[in-house]
Amino acid sequence: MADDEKNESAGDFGASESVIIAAQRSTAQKIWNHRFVMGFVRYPPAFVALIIASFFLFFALFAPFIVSWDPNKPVLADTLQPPEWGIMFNSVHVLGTDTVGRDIFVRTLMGGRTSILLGFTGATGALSIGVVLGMIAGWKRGVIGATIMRWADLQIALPLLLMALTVAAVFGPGLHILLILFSLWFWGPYARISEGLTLSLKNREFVEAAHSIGAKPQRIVFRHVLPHLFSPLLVLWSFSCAILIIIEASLSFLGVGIPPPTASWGGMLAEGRQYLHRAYWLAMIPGAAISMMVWSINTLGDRLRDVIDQRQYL
Amino acid sequence: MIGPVMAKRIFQSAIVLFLLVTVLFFVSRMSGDPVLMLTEGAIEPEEIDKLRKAYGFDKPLYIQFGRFLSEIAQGDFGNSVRTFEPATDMVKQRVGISVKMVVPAFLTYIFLSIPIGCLAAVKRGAIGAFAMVVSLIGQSVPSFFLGILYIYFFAVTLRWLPVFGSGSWEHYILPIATLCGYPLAKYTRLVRAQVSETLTMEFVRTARAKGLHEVNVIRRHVLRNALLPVITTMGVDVGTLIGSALIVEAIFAWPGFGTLVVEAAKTRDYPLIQTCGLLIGTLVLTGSIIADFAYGLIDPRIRRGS
Repeated sequence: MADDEKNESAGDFGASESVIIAAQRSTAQKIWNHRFVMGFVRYPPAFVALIIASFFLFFALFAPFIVSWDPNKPVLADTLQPPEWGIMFNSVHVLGTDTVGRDIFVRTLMGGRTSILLGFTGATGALSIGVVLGMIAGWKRGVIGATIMRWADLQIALPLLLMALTVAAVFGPGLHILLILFSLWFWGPYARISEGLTLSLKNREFVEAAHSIGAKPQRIVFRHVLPHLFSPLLVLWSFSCAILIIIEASLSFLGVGIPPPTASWGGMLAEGRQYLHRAYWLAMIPGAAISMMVWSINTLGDRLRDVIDQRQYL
Repeated sequence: MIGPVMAKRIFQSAIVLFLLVTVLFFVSRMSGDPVLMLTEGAIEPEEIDKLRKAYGFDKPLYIQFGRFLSEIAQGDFGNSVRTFEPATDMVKQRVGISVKMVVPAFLTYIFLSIPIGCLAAVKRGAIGAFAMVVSLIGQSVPSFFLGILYIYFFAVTLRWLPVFGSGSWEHYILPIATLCGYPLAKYTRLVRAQVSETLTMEFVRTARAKGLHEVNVIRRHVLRNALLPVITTMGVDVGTLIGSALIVEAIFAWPGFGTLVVEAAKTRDYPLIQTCGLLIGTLVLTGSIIADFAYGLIDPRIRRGS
């Protein structure tokens, strides 16, 4: 952090200095990148988490182009087949089939798609809204700042899951509505962090320096303040992806999320719950998938925070 | 006595509550004509106008909003669209059932997470590491899957505990254990982080140097400081607790408040869901005010507003 600030404040002055600083920065960047990557690879749980998260993310993005199988088409001859581990590579249904003969493995991969993509895009949408509003609130204070922060408080008063139920009651379930809601009702934490940091950065020398050479507030906020918010926001972003994935799955589980027959982790769990005594795999496999994905994101987020903290001592 | 800090907090919460009422009102009006929604289109055209007049939907939106506010101020939250009962009565009836599950769960995770978190911070090494691994897993398993795992192991495979229904104390174990899962893991981690940070402070060294027993050092010097952020988080987390209670009720077919919210959402019964939303908002805001108040009780620096 300290290094960056020095560069930021010096960056607006003489050219010769900026060349030296740029050289220093690129070396620092190399070390940092190296440590950043190694920080993940050398810590075994983070490495495992990286593999699991990439696996699910890969299928979330590309499953429709890879899997030729229709995950929603019933095959009534193959209902409730148990997982066949022994002949793993010859088996048709590695993880068994559900009540209407659909392959659980394919459905689990496809089911993650909605949760994961909605989680990531929702968290990103919320991030963009929260950062801009938070920086405005921190910079302007007064009535504008207070209004923004009260709207952020509102999101704590009626948590996202309950707001989603309210919205589902009015509009009915739907993917677009959920995505809009996730962005509009989850920016509070980002705004709170951005507001606090903007407030404390506002009085620093490099902001004063930028101000004195005539930079406009927009420029100062986006070019000089925003880079400092990067690390805490990245950590928060990773955790909120996990939360949104759980919320989407909860909504599907309660029956107000993505409507069937589209595969979704929450929906598969809700269905499997009724067959626990006969076919445990119906619930266990999607449940394990979502737990693994959330664990991976949480572990990566934790690790990210540690690695970023280390960077401060560089 | 309420200090200026608390007065400001209560005022801010009142503003947030007003915003909540506004949002709930406008969201329910955004989906189009309420008359068509209530009757689901199965109505004669001339009847629509009559109903509109009867409910006051023909007036401009701001007049409707004013009426909505004055009705709420008088304690009239409207009637359920399905059962035509007053929404407040339905909510009251169901909240009692949920309290029996939420309050024991709340007490359980508070009284377990603080000692476990402390122990994990003080006894580093195997015990601490184990507690942390378990709690990170506990934080990652969503409550709906945790509930299903419990049912599968304790009710279906081992047949130790009943799943559905109520009556004996045994019926409470699985729902409460499910509801505890996530907060227990979260608070254990939080307490551990706070305690291990506080242990490095200089006043801890002083307390030890003056010959205080380690138990007293932890109890009187470390915990008092370490628990402050934990209390704030608990206040804010009232909403999360209600959210997970809703899912746990769905898993165990528990006819409480959460089930009512889900039913209302599924049947698009928006007067009922507005009432539920307002109740949740009020509970969450009250929770965070109480947390702030407790914070002041523990830490005199905050009470004085410095």
